[in-house]
Amino acid sequence: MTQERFAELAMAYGADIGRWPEGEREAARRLAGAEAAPGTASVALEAESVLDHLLWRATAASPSLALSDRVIALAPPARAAPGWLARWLTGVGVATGLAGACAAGVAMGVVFAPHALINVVTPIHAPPQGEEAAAGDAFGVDGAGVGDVG
Amino acid sequence: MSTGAADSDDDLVLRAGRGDPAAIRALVARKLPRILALAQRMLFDAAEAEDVAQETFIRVWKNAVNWRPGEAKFDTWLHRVALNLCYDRLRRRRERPTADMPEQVDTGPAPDRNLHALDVGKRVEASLAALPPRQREAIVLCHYQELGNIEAAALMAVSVEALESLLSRGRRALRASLADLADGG
Repeated sequence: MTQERFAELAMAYGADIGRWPEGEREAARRLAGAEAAPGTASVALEAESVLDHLLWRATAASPSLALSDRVIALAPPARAAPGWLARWLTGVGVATGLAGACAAGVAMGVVFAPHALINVVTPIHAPPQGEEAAAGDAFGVDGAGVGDVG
Repeated sequence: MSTGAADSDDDLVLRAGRGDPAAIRALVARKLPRILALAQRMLFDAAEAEDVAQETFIRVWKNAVNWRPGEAKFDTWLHRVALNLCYDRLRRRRERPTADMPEQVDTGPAPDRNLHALDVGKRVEASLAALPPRQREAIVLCHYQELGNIEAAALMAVSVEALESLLSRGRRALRASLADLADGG
């Protein structure tokens, strides 16, 4: 390495040879170490060292807690479960929902339309039974339909 | 799941993309100070620097789930995003009427040579702020962000020789501007 190249590198990268281009560090160290008395290389390093120290006097502020919290709050939400688990859970949910709906339907039928159950066992061509028959129609359950299903 | 210092950036990004809270916190702790410092030294406006840092992380969160390890170095990508946002802000400042410009710090030598440390810092900041943006970018990337010359040159889309030229010119201007502090700074 020439003295000129050494000075160029010092002026560009500063006094810390460890931060110079990797391929030139070793040669630069050899050149600086070979100087019997403070020469061009030492003078260049000293001058750049002063500037390096001055540059570090311009400190950067650390992130505030508020900024960190804002950034974290904007992050993607956690995924609840892997795909196969989510699908399985959805399947269980649907099955549970359907079972619940069926149970609720039966309960509703018992509470609000007991005649509907009666209709199941009532002959298809039996005559209407007054108000109870009308209530059955309101839930969309006529004697014929239930009879067909049953 | 570990979140120690050994976790690679790639690993943290991928886990953050899946919404892993520990990875998100670790990534923010590792990268937010670095990106905020970059923005502060490019913009010299605390509020704008915070906006840039936050916007950078919004981009991270958007892209994390699709991050492909090995295709690019995450830290380099992160710097590129933040620098682009900084340049957007600098462009907007140039387009703004003079009355709306942020107050400029006096870059001249201070009359009192027994400067307080804080004042030295302010003087250095002012001198950095007065540099042409590309020279400032080169110094911020190589000196403050401690990127290697090849990585910094790639980020700036210039050759290593051009980077060295920007660095040399920038440092020469800083030496001249801060000459009065060199003896007792």
